[in-house]
Amino acid sequence: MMSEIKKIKNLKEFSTSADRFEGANLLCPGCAHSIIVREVLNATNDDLILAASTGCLEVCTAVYPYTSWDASWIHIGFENGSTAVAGAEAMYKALKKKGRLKQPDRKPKFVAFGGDGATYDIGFQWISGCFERGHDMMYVCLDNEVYANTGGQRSSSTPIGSSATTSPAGRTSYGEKKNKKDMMAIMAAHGAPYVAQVSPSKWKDMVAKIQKGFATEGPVFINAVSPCTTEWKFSPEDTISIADLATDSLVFPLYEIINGTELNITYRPKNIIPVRDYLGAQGRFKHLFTKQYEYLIDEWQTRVDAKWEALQRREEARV
Amino acid sequence: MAETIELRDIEVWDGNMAASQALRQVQVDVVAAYPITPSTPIVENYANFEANGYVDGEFVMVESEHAAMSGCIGASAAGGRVATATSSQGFALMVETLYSASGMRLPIILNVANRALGAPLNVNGDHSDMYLGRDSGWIQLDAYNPQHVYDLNFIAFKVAEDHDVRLPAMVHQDGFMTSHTAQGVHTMTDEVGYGFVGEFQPMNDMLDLDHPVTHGVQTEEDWHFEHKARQQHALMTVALPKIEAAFDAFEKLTGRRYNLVETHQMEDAEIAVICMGSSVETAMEVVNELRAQGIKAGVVGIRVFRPWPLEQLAQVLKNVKAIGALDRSSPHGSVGMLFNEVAGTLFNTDAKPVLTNYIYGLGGRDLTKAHLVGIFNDLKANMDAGKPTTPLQQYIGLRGPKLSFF
Amino acid sequence: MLEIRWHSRAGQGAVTGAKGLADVVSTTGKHVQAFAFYGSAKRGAAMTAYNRVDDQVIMNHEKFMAPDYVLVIDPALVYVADFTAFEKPDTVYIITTHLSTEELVASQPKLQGKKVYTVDCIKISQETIGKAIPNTPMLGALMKVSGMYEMDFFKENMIRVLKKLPQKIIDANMIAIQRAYDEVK
Repeated sequence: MMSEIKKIKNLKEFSTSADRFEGANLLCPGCAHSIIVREVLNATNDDLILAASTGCLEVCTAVYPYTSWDASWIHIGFENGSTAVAGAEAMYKALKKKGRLKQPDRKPKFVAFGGDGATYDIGFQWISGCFERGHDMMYVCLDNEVYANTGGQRSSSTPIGSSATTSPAGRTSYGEKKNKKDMMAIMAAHGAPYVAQVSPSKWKDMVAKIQKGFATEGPVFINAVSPCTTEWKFSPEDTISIADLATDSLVFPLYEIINGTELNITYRPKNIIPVRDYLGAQGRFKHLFTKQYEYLIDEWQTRVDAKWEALQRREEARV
Repeated sequence: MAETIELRDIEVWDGNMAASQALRQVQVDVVAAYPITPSTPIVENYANFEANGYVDGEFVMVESEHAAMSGCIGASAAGGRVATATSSQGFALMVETLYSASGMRLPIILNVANRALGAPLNVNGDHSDMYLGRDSGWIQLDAYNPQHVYDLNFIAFKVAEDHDVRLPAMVHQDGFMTSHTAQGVHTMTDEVGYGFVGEFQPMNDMLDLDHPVTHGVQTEEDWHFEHKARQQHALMTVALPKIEAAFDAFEKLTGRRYNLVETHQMEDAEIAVICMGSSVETAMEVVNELRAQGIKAGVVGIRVFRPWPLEQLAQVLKNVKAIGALDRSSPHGSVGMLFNEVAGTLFNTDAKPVLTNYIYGLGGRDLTKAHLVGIFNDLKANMDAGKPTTPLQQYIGLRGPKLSFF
Repeated sequence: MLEIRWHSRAGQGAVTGAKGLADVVSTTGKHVQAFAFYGSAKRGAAMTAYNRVDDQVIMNHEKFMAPDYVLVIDPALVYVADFTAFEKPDTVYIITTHLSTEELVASQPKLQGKKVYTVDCIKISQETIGKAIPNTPMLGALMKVSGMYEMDFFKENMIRVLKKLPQKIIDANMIAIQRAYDEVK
């Protein structure tokens, strides 16, 4: 059976379509992870083989004797969700070749989910290996810029000036000192056929990219901004508006890179919001709004402007 | 379909080739592997089979041993026959995932060409990596020569994939002394070899798209203990009889007999060494020479290291007066593992032999027949005295002054 | 039990030679072992390889060996390696060298009074195979000195052992084996 691209007309239809990820899970109220996962799963009617790295999503959705997953799902450890699903994909190919698939006319999609800790840090090598080998899989990073599962330690995705438990803001520190790793560029440099940054708040853009990813042969990397109500410190009902602030301030620009070379910006905010507004909406940046550290907000804006400029130049240059 | 290879009845293979040929004959579905000395040729040979159409499964060369076992776990959970190989540092890197594989009840076969663990870095054979795996929940079978490597691979697949067992299994061989030593190996035809293991029967397979499964769940204090207890139950009460049944079936098929505990001249032995790997056979030869001098010496080889064959070993040792437990791994801070296991095995029995411990062969250091003769001399003195005449733990084959503890 | 120790440099094919010999011997119903001492050393490092041959199953896995034959396939090793280690009174030495046996013994006093045979396996392999791979010619010399097997039988089996090589290389190896058989003194 050829997989068809699922048609979704509106948000209502989207939110009530086939549900392979149950709302019955232990994630925090307002957690963006569950929204992202549902949006990924709802983008296809095809069968799914899923993996998750250790993290919030994993510990909150498969607590024995319960599971929130109505698709085959595997978790091994913190670093190897990518390789777990790659192994399953290899087995699919082997059994297909040998004629031993139980449903030979159905071709499942292989998807791994991991947080930014599992993606940018501890699982980086495994993801790199999977992408170099070219497994037919999608890797979705639920990027909440912090080790949320263990209570808010910094990761290499944690941005400058964010207060995390292992890089706390204090009398002599403004918090995290290092800039966020550019995972999109790194994954594109693997020559991956499709790499995209998405936000659950821009659901049409996101579904289009997930569907494009599913239609792509080979490894696909999706970096999804996942505002964390607990560690970013905002009200649970504000998750989507914080995600909107992230995209509309261009802190999280939405774009895709095809075959490592063709960069397309997929969302241009009509009204670009000052970075200050994005930072100000979150408790993790509260200390920046003091005389001592206010200069960092200006630096933030300069950095975001420069990145946006660079993305546009790259888009234009098609490199 | 993979092409078959016409094997001669006896092929001169080293242990690595014996393992590769067994993996080919059982037609593994996915091999995810990363090379490391001295197990590398297992993977290289397999790659050659693949490149020439003798296997038609997937062969995935990953970027580390951790990824190799991670990929094996994903593949096994997906539902098919899975195997890989490693040694030493690579084994150590795999350890986290070894516990995952057994806890998730996945019948993966791991060939281990045993090698020392650094520092200092050393590529040669000792049992440090094998010992490192002993609490990981895997079945651990130990080969003493290339023939055993070949045979035990078939037995490992048959036992591990049994739906009542569903536990991963390691086939150990001594790095270099077995892995790179060519000896005559009695072969099975491709058809007979495959037939012994049979077609893989999936269970809880992720690729059964009509029956989704969740693998690798979270359990905290409420269920973790019960899961581990059940895993132990399978290992202790199901695996051992299944291994024995596989040994029986294999003997029927090939005439070659394996036992949970291998013995040589133990019927009336007064003194005995207990050891693993290629040293077992060297000790057997020494015992033959001692017997010619009228010394009632014997050898006990551990064939099934995990699950530990406690009852069978106690039976074998019940009349022995002095035992030397020979460990090819530095216990660092205690007596050797075999000393402890034998002591624990015999403690509540009527047997009260004098038990001493020898550490030997670290980093590939030779265990000579002369060393073994010396050990048997010690054991004889211990028997005659009815108590240890030496320190409890001695280092054998070490240069410089003698080293002993306890 | 017949025991053979090879002295070689890594890359000269002693392991292949030892395994090839084991393979041929195995076809006659005898039990064999072929192994080597390995380290992390690369091409050119001095190394040793070993064969054991017996009518009984070989249980001995010690690396220690008091050899019946010592095969030296690199000419310089008689001056730098401990090639007489654990020798027996009747240990036979077959040594690759461009020197005559008398000249060799004169240059290496350790060989005085020993059973020494010489053959230039390096030259033979260069002239036949085109490369300094002295392992197969050494086996030819061993066949002559030991009288282990008839040449026809040995060559026939070596062809099988080498079967993965191109025919031209196999043919060259057969010539090399025969030349060493004829030239060893």
